[in-house]
Amino acid sequence: MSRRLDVPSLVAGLGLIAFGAVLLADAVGAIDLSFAALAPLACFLVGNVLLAMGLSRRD
Amino acid sequence: MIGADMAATGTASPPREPLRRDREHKYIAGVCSGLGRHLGVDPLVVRIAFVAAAAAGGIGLLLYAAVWVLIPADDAGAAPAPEQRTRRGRAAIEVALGVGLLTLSVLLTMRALGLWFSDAIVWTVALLAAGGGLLWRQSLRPTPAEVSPPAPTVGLPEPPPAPEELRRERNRVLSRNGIGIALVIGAGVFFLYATGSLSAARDAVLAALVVAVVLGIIFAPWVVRLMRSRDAEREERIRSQARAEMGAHLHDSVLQTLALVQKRADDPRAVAALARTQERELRAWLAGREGGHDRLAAALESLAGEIERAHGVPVEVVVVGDRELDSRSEALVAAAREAMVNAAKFGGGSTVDVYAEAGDGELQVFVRDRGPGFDPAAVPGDRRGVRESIVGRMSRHGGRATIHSAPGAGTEVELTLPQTP
Repeated sequence: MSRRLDVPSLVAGLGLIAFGAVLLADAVGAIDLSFAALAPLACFLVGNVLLAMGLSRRD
Repeated sequence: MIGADMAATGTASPPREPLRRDREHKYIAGVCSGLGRHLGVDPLVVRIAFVAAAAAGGIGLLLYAAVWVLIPADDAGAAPAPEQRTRRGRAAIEVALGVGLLTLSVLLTMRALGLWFSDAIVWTVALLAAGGGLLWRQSLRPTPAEVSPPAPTVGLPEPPPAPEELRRERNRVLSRNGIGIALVIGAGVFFLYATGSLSAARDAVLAALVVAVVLGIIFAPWVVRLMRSRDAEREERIRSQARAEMGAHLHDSVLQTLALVQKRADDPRAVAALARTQERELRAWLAGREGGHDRLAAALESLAGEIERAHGVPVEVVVVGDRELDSRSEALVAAAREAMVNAAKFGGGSTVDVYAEAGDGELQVFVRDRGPGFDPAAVPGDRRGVRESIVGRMSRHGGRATIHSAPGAGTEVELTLPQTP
């Protein structure tokens, strides 16, 4: 039995990992996270998840 | 490369599959499988190419997403069920929001990096693009009034859409247009605000607004009444077409059989056979599985055989070209059947010649007999055969029927169906 990828979950998971990595980098002082940087990142994350959900639902 | 392989083997290349995502053999969205099927290569090759492109800077992922968005799935042309339509509607909203947020993230990133013209230009253009895109897309979709009514030549006529469904569709159209207009107006207001011209334009805008409100209050009742009467007219037109189709079918099948039964009343076995055939045909029609032929030539040949058996008159069929039948060409076949039956009944026993030509532009069928002929203008108004089953049917489906006949000169029925109505 072949298992199908749940694309929205995959995208959301990868996005959260990337988001966590950015927050961690900010916490340890590797980067300086400002609102101007965080806002596009959040939009990118939510946009990707919505796009993946919409495309999967369309199929 | 593919072409070279084909040439090397010396075999004729099969017709290329349309470019659709293959949902049956998908891993993610069926993009690679669909592309492979379209290009005639193993989907594994396409998958490897996408993975390699994804590894080379992520371009493969972008490409995959773009193809996923742009290319429909292989069953996208099928009429969706109501719940499927709702699901697709939600999916479209999610995709639109997702694309909007991704665009916003790109714009915010460019702004943060200093790759920016000015707020007044970029945000205005973005809002204009979103609103204009929505309005443009909406203008390309058929409105509820333009959606062609069902063409129930084969099978039980579908019921006309409920007024509630029409109202919902109209509200959907209005809300989409409203959002598009609001975005475009918002773009204009934002541009005026960002360039400091809003206060100067305020007086003019206020005056225009007051005039618009006054005109709206005056004309709103007429507009509402106009829209309601348009809906009522459309519903009546659909009902009338459905009635006409039903009448034409009953004339072509039941009434014809009853006429044959009267003619052969002295032969009980023939009458029983006719009744059985008619019962089978009527049951198949009620179940929506009448016909059984999906190509023009096969359908005409089958009709010719049926009419030869029923009326004992030879029917010669010549078909140049062939075509798959759709609802419109099925109507043409039904009209041709009625013309053949008329030729068999009133052609004085002469051979019925049927000539069909399926060209690129239009579909034509000629049905000719060498019988006594008749004066088309002298046909009584209550005879439905020519008027409804041939001329009316062709007209309802965007075609035309011309009768060439004169007393003593035989009859030719010319049926023409253009590519588009």
